Amino acid sequence: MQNDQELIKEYQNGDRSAFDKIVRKHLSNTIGFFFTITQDRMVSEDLAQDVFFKLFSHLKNFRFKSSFSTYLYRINLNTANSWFTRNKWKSFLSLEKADDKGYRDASVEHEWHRKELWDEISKLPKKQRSVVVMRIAEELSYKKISKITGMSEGSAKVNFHHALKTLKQRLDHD
Amino acid sequence: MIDFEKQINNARIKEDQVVNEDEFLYKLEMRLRHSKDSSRILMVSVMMLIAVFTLTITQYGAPSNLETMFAVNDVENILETDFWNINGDSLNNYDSYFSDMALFLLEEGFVWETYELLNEFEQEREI
Repeated sequence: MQNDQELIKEYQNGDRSAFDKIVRKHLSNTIGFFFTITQDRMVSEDLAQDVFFKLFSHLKNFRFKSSFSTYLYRINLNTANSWFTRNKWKSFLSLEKADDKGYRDASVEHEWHRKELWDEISKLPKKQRSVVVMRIAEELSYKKISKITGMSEGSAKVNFHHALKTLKQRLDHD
Repeated sequence: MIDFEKQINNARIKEDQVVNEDEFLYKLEMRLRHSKDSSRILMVSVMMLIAVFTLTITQYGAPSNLETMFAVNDVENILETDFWNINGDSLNNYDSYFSDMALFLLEEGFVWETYELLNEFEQEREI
């Protein structure tokens, strides 16, 4: 099986099928990443479409200065951040509608916590949110997160710590 | 804080995503084509707008109605053309015409014809 670098070079040399191979290779992970955040299969697929649509035009200019996985994570993260911004009010309204804690069984309770958690994550400042998303959704190391976000490892740790503190306060308060 | 981090990690959905790759690629292809068509239409529209704008700009200062467009200031040139002489009195030009013609015939050696021409000229004058 060809690695990413070879496939990208083939694509840059005009082989369109190489792009399809790249998509097939990373599709499952990308949709999984968005599914963790959105908990919605359709939305995840739409966001994955956005990612690969952007990739199609930008990959021609990829200069191999960073690894492809870092590059793809960066696109995923930017797309997720855009979705958070778009969805802020929508998720707020859907939470308001479901605010009836008396009739929930265990699975619904679990679903509720997830929604509540991601709703609070979406309200975090962008840097903190980026670190939390990569840490929770992808379980990435601080080193990898620092490469993706462009901040230092220490800064990533501090941002994550602040984010957790804020989330704990908000979720406990609720 | 560590417990809270564990709680958060537990809240993550761990599911293997089964994806219909062909359908996904088909949708992506359609989207790319649609985007390409849209950008082509946009480019053509912009080019047409630029063309219309350029043509409009270059027409500034040009006469705005047909009368002005076809009006000619140099009247004398027009009067000298055949078009303006069609309905004019051409007898004024007879003298020079007959004298030139007579001279030509004489030079060519047609004496009798020259005589006839002059005779004709005299008759015309009498009329």
